[in-house]
Amino acid sequence: MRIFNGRIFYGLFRFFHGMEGWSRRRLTSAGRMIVGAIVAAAVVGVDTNRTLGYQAFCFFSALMAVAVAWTPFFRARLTARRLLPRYGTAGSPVAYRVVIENRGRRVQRGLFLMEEVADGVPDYQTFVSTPEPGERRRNFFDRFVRFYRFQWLVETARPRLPGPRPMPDIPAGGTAAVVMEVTPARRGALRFTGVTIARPDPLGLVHSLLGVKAPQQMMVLPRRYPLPPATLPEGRRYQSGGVALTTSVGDSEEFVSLRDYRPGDSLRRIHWRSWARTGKPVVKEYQDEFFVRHALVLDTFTRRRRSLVFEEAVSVAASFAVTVLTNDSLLDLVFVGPRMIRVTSGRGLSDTNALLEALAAVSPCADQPFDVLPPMVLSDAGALSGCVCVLIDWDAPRRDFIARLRSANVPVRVLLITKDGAPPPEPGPMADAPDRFMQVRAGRAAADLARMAT
Amino acid sequence: MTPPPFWTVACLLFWGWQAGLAPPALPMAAILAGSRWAQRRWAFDLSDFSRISDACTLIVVGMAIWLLATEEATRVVFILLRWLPIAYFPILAAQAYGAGPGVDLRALSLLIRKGEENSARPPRLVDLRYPYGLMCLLSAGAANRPGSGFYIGAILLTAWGILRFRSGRYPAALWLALLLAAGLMGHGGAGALNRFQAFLEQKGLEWFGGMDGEPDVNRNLTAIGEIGALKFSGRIRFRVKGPPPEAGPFLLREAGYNIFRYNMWYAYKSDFTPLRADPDDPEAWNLTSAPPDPGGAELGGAEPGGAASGEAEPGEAEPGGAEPGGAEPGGAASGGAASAEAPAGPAEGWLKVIMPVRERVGLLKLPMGARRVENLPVDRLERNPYGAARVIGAPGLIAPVIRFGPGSAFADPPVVQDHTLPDRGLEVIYEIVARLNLIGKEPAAVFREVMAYFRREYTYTLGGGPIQRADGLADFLELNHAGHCEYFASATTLLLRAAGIPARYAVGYMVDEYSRLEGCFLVRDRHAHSWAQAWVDGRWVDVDTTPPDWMAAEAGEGGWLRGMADLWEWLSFRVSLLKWRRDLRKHLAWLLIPLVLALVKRFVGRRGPRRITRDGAEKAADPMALGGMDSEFFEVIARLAAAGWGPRPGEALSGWLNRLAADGPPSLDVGPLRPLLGLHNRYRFDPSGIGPAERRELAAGARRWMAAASDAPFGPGGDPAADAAAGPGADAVTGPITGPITGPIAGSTESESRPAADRPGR
Repeated sequence: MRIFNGRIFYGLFRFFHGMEGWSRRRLTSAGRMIVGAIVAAAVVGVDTNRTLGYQAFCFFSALMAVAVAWTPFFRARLTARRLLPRYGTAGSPVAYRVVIENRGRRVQRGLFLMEEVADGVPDYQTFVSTPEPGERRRNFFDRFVRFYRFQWLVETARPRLPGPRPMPDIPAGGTAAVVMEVTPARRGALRFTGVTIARPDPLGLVHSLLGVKAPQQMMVLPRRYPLPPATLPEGRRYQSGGVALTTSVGDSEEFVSLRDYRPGDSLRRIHWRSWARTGKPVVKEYQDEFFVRHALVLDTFTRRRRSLVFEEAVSVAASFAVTVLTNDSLLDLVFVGPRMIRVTSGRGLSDTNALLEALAAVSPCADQPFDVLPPMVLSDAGALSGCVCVLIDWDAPRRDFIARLRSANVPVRVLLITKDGAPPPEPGPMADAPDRFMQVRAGRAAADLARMAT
Repeated sequence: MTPPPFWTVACLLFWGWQAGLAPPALPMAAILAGSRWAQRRWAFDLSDFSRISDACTLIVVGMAIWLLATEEATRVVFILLRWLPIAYFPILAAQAYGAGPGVDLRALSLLIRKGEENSARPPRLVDLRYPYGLMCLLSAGAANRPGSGFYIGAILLTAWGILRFRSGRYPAALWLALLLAAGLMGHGGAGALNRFQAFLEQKGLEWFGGMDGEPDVNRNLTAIGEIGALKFSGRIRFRVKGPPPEAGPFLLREAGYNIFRYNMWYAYKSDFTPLRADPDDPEAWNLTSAPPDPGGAELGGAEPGGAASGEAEPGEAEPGGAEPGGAEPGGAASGGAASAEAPAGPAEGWLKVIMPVRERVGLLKLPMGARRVENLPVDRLERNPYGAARVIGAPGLIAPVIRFGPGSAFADPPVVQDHTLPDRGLEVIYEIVARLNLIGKEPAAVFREVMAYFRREYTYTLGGGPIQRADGLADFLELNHAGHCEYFASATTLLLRAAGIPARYAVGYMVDEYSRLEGCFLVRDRHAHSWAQAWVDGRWVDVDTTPPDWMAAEAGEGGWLRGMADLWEWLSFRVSLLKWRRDLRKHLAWLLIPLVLALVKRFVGRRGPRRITRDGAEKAADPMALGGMDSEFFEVIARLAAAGWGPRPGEALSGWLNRLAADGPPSLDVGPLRPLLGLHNRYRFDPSGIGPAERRELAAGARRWMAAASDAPFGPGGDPAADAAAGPGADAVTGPITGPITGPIAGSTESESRPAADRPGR
């Protein structure tokens, strides 16, 4: 029964998904319509004594036969190159150009262009272990067959591509550019494998296909949500890196006094005039650097390969990353991927894109416990003006982490990402600051974040 | 995918012509065509389309219920198909007069709706005009109009429909040539398909419509000479009520034939002539020219009074509650050896045959000596010279009460063909006649000899035996000495003729299986039988020489599966009885009431779609299109800014409220403003917006606060220092309140209004 439940359905879904993809590539929209008409006519015209539907069936079938007979003869020498932007955003369309060069001796007319990416079909383990959001609400049959799960997994993995795009006429030896648009379904690297040139038959029903290799990739940043104007917990803290780290962040370097040179002082701080006047090295002394530094902690500890909650957590973190303006502060992004990651953005350091790139590549950490994260954050607690924690669970280790952070006098804001429909969690260590503790429901993050108390 | 202009209109008109439904098609086409010039459109949303789509589905369901109740099941599909364009016209008209280019796919299918619950994809729109046009084409085909109009029309409309997909790579002449080639190929294929179905029908494959119905009264293709075993279905064909359980087995005949040629039996001049209904009872028919016996005195007190009741449901019309049957229908003339002994015919009696009728036409199953049929509400009853009785204009299920008795001769006397033997190939017949010395004997003695001969030297089998020559009957008689009923019946008929007795070949059923569950005899497909009829003493008697064990041989192994199938058929039969009640039409309204209620529920009490102009510009601007810039909370900000307590440049509104709560004027209560700020933020930033109730709450709350604040000490003329501190940002927020929404409002609070697209990474 288990085999029947899993493997067979998975195999069937995969087969029909492949068939659908094949038909979309091989048939034009008119061709698909004619195939649908053939099927319908076959059903209603099965009895030739009762309907004339069989005549329609024969004519439609003959049309397709003629069109298919035309397909084997398509030769062309074409190359393709994409002009891709550096970044895309999951869920947002990205427009780009594909430049096609005709290296043959004939003008190419009436061709269509299709993009090729990985098909996005989940492997069997992912299929059986990754429930679709809200799957429990589906009826028994749907839960047993799991078709909608498969459909969801494919949709969340495969970028949305446009249908065949018509290409302008390309003279022999000439080039033509086609504007394409792709909507990445998920963050991370979007890998294009090639393009397919399609030539319809004279009736416009069936494509002859010509594959052109053009492997390229584009970084897809996480989805971000608009946040209300956020007032982050603030408080200036001494930064041991000083001005070297921040240039002019916080209090700009302020001269305090002159003193004698001590071994180890930077040569850049020597006050040459005083040395000349006194005959011994004198250095300038500055006020220590105090400025705002926030930490954005992302909880990555889940065993699920694909989890809407985790993806939503990444998106929420990305939303904060782009919302917190770092020209007057620093923002540390801290998470545990395959290893401990800390990315700092701010003036003089990497920009927000570095945070987003890191978030684009983050993957769930299934082999380590949550306990490895707190030391990373707590070790720098003294330097933090505030901490935004995006958590995907609210168990004892996480509550303990928040409690320890608060006991270190770090202002904390907790965003707990839960499944849609999950009951409101107990604030626990955030009970005395309920406005800093918020539940964000996966799938409704935009709405929940809009309610965020600022 | 947009079809050419007026293509769908043309398809509709074509359908109206072919289906004979021009009256509805013409206004529908006019409505559709009118959408091209109409200046008004309606802004149908997903729920509107869902409601219309559901209504279409309910219309189809209603039509199907009506047709199932009033038409034969096999016709329902085709009638429904013919009417489908009417049922789905509302959704097409909604698209035509809607503002969008198509219909949201989710509105059309619950499966798609369920599948896209978690989808982040934008809604997929589908233009219904192409599918609808194709539906019109197929519906036109369902009308089965003779002639080539349908095929030519289908080619022209299809060519018109796909013309816009023609590839510019090739010349138009090539497109036209390929289209014509496809048309010719399709024509050839259609002819081949038609011939193929005829071939299959000839082969007797019963899964084609019409093949599991009645035998052809003009010819009967026997299975003689066929290679391989014959299989018979256990499906229940009809039921027989009346005779007691011990009355079986007996024969019920459907048709007779008198010319045997190449394993085929033909009926010479088998034209049907109509019979007249009883003047006193339009549902009673006399099969013989002799006047019927009045009443039921001869039937041993069996008075079929109930059968005459026009309101009784089929199959439930018991003949007056009398003792069933009263006699074995086949009398002594059936059932093998006994038939040869007693050609005197059946005793008086009656039986009721409960049988389905396909296409409103069917053949009655008649016992020997049948003379009158009652409880038969048909348009016409016809008979042919060979005793076949055909009903025309019958409901889907009939339960005629058939009276029979001795001396009745429904079939005509023999003609010359009833004496004739085939010219060649059957010399063995004469050899057998000579060997049995049948010439000159009395008919009873001939029957006895023939019966004994077959019992002695032949066995029953479903297989035809190895074939040596083309003539299977000769092989049966000479070589194999084994066969099924058609061999025995054909051989007996010819032997009797060779012995000088006029004889015919009859087909029908052997009734033997009594069901205690249903209280009647069940007659299955495998009970189909054939036998000989001989003309003796001025009437036809049945002569069945097939060994009596043939039914056991054909019974096969039913097992529990057969039992389950029987149970299912019994349930279907009960439903069929209910369906074909005479007064069912009165009850149909009750069946349709839930549908009408469902339709009403879907439409009543809902706000209709908004009316907009043709170019899509709505009469009233969509407030959400403003991005929440019309929020009344801006008035609150302006009011406080005017009093010198506005937000500082770049200050988040929540921080501003916190500051007011801490350092603001004592008379200012910030509490009511916090939920308003929450609504304001959601109105501006939540992609799904806020609901109408929340929107009203935001507006009303802001106005309440404004009304209460009009007399507050922090009113106009408040702290000028704070007013100055508000700076240009405070001035900016007043912009949207008094004037059109222009640039300054976007800069009211920089962090709030900063466009997302400007942020890094966007």
